[in-house]
Amino acid sequence: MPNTPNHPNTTSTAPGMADGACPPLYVDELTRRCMGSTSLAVLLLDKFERQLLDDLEELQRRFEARDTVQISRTAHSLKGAAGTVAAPAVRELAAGIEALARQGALEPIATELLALREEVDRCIAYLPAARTALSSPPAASPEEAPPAP
Amino acid sequence: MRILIVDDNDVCLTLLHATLTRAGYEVDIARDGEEALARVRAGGVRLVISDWDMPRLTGPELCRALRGADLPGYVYIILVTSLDSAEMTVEGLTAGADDFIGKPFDPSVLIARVRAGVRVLSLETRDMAIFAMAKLAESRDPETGAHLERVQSYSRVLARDLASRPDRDPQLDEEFVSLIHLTSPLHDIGKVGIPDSVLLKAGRLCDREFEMMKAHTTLGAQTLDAALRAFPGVKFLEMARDIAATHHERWDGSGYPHGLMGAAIPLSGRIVAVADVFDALTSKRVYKPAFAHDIARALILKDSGSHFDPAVVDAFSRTESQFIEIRELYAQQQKLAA
Repeated sequence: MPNTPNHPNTTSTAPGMADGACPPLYVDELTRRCMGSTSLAVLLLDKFERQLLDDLEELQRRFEARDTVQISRTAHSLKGAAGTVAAPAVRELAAGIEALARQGALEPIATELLALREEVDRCIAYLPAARTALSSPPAASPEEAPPAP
Repeated sequence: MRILIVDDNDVCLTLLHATLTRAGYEVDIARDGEEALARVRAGGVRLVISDWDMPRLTGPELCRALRGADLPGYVYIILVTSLDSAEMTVEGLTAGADDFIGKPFDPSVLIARVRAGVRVLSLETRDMAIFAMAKLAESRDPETGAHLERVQSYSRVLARDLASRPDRDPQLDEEFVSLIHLTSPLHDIGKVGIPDSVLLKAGRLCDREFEMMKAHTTLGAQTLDAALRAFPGVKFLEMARDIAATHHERWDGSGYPHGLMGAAIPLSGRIVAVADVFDALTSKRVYKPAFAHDIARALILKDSGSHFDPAVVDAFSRTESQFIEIRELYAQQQKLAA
């Protein structure tokens, strides 16, 4: 399957995905950012998975408390993490929530939170396949990452 | 090279840490701005890579705190941010950041940015070498104590005040203030070429000896000119040359070595002239006691428009309290050293 403008490197980045579906995260891009270290990429995915669940819960709680300052802060943090692991849909949704919270526009955030929850579910469902893809790299064994902080 | 990375996000922190460690850097971690500030104050950190949006202290707030802290050396700061508006770039740079990197970052770009920072930090080594050279010249005159450090501080105070005036000379910007701080210690570098019999003479110099002593201005300028021929256009060398050549010129044209008058004397030379004379007046020499501040002040003000540029003397009047503080600071340091 050739790469498309919107779905770069989907051959190896979308294991288990239906044709035409956007992967929730791009494993090739993540591996490149990890300088070829699959163990670092897996470590980042593990941390990202924990943050996804924690932040989603935090966003919901802060939304119910109508705390736009903390919504903005949490969404900003999630946006950064999602960008780091090359999960563009989560990143965009988090960025949208952050922008709304900065404007103090609480009501539209409800809809965005629903969309984010769906994307987080899709992302978490995808992670095992992503880890499998990372555990069987196509090229020569990459240099291992140093211990994480 | 020890680098401090600051981020409250574990995912981002992990990738930063791995990228830098793999490139061979020693990496410390802080999870918010206040922790970062404490780590830098503890010493050993030369370069900080900080997230923008953090609890307790934001990236720009951390920059401001670091720039305001009394640290032994310059700390290079890179802000990592997905906030990429022009306003935020201005805010970050104004707060004291040296560089930015976009989030998510490319590892090769991050390392290139860090290497650029390391190059800038290496300039501080250059600054230390310049100061060592000036100290070498000063070491031949054992009575002058911390003369170079005080002249350096006085010159910066004067330049900074002049730069803050609405009618300031266009050349007076932050770079000028930094350069005069860097180069003013070289004002007497030409003294290395003056014979000990003249330089260290306890009594009054005869006319011939005084002429020999006056040559330290041209000797210093010639030395720095030789460096400028090898490295043309280097601003700190140009300013150092101007200062060495003209810090004994007088506003009314009665100075030496060339009898330059008024604005024909480079501004850096006019500033260092006031700083140098004030320090000489308030310091003990073999031929005179140390004058009290008020006497030195009166002498400086009296020579406004004759020996000194009136604008620089006005700056001296406005910043007098800082001169006293600097004088006292070094006096305390000398007492402690003794």
